[in-house]
Amino acid sequence: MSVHSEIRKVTTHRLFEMKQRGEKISMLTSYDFSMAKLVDEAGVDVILVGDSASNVIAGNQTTLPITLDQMIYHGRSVVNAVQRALVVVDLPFGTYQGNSKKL
Amino acid sequence: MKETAADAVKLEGGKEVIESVHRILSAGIPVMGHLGLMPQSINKFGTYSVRAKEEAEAKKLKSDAQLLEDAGCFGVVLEKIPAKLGEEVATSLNIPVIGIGAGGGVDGQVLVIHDLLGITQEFSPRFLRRYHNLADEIKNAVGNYIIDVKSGDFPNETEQY
Repeated sequence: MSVHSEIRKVTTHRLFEMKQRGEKISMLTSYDFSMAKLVDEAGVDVILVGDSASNVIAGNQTTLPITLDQMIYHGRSVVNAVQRALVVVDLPFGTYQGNSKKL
Repeated sequence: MKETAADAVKLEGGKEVIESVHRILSAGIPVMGHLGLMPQSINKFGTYSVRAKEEAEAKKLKSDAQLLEDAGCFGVVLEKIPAKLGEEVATSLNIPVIGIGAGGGVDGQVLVIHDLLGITQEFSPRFLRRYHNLADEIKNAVGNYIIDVKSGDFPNETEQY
């Protein structure tokens, strides 16, 4: 931790503590650097890189078509912007269902 | 997934995907579950309507949620289920339960940023609160830009080298 940084990164443990003390958790999606930077600076606790990118970014009818490579691109873009929020990335359809050993 | 340097991953499902949950967790990657309406299973559900209104599906959801907690997930998202069921699950689990259309009795809320900002216009489920109408603002701003380009007003003398 840098001595100059006053930003305390949100961890999964901190979310657990928030639940224990009854503090509600705020979570929002982001898919790109510019938006994620604003959402993070506004102070949201968790940023979800949702496979809803398939709908709102790519214009598909469902979340099924988005690929792992595309999710990695969105995830990387968001991670590059975020200093505080916990970043969660959706695993896209087909990467973990059944007996896939991909991961 | 470590190529993204993200903190955690989320996946949809309970018992059906629990082996994957174990495998990812054993690789040291934190996992968040997702139950209720699971958009990746849209072809199985056939509809985006409210899930787990029937007792059997509610019972499975509760047991799946417990299964995910026991496996070591750090949280669960519940999508589009009755508020009472959301509260029940949040009360029975130690890990945080984040809702989207799962009522006010859960431990937190999640929305799609484009919906919250009013960029998307055609999507209006009951659970969505729009905090802004960015679609109209964007169209107005772009419209004004087009007018200024066509009229020659943009760029003016101070906006060039």
